[in-house]
Amino acid sequence: MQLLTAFLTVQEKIDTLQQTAHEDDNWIMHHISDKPVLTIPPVHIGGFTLDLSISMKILMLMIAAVLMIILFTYAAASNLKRKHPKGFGNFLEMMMVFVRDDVVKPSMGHGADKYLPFFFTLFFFILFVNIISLVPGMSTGTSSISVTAGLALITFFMTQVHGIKHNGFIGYFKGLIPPGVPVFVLPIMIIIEFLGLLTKPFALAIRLFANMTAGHIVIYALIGLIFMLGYAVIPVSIAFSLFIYVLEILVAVLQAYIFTMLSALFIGMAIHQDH
Amino acid sequence: MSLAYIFLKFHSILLFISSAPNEKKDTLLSVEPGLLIWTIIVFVILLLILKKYAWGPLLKSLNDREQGIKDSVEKAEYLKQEAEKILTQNKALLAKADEDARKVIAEGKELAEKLRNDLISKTNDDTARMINQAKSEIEREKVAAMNSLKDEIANLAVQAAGKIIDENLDAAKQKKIIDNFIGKIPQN
Repeated sequence: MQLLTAFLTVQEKIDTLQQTAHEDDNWIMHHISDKPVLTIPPVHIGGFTLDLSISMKILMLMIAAVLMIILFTYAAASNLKRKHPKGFGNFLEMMMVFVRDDVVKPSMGHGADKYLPFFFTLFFFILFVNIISLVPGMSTGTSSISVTAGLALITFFMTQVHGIKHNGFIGYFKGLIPPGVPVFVLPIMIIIEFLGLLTKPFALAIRLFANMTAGHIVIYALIGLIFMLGYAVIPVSIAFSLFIYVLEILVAVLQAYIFTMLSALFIGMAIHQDH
Repeated sequence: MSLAYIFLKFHSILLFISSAPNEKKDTLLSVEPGLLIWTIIVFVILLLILKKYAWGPLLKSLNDREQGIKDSVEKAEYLKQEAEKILTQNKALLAKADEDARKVIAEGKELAEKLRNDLISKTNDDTARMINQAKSEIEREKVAAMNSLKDEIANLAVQAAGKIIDENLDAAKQKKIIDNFIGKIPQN
């Protein structure tokens, strides 16, 4: 009997906790999700409504883009002026050499020089958006599936266009299926390869989005612990969120690297289908 | 209690993330076309601007410098090989010159030795000849002197004997006696 009442009280407590949790979880979502900054009336194309309002995340992308244009044109001018680059120009050049020699060329093989500007832009854009998201008060551009899907779509588009350009329309789609496949497996292979085409950018988008969102949610949750469990957990919360924060810096660079490397790999595979 | 709370918290977050997209616009996994299009627009504009004003010049300066370094290294390598070649040539020349000098010195020494030996033997010969000549001359002179002395002594003896002894003894007979006497006298 006593056990039963104890069980019931525990059950009751869990119920109330669940309710408060449902009320509480909105503040994290509130911080993670997008907020409109400049509302533009939606455009109607056919039966489809397109909302082109500028939100926080788009603003972040634009800030990153403007920052990149200012910094990189300055670096370019400064590097052209002197024989030996120094300061930011030197640092940027080091990063460029890293992207070129350690990210793009090993994944793509020969003929990578033509695509270098694209990969530089991709890498530094993701890197800048990720880094800006770590500045307090800023929003995370890449923690929206729409943004990462946009970037993945660009890679997908580049892959298909350059694959077709290089191998011809029929040659490209024929090259997708590995040579020497028996005829009776062909229908399955065609479906698998077609799905493979679509899963590649999908994986890219999900990976970047999940990595950038997870870190922020964990930090918010750790901060939230202070208000849920009382001020005693402040040292623990701060220590852990600092740790996650530093980890986020690593993740920011790592995700830019992975996104660029996989893009280079996919484009390289589409161009050089023979191996 | 706190553990259950934390668990529920994360559970509710997970529920929220995985909630169906038709619930509301605000879910994490719903794609908003506007945001997607803006991303593409921003990226493409950024790519075009950076390609023209940043990556072009940056890559150009980078490639130029890399090419310059490569050229310099190659040139240095070439110059090093060239210098090594010249060094070996110089060494060979030096060795040859050394050899030549040694040969010249050896030849000179040999020649000098030969000349010295020739000179010595010639001098020795000359001396010997001269000594011999002198000896034979002396011998001849001695014989001549002895002969003339013999004559002189004979004449003197004849004159002395003629003066001392009477004139009845003729000169020829006396001379014969004296010659006999002189013949008995030892040569020296």
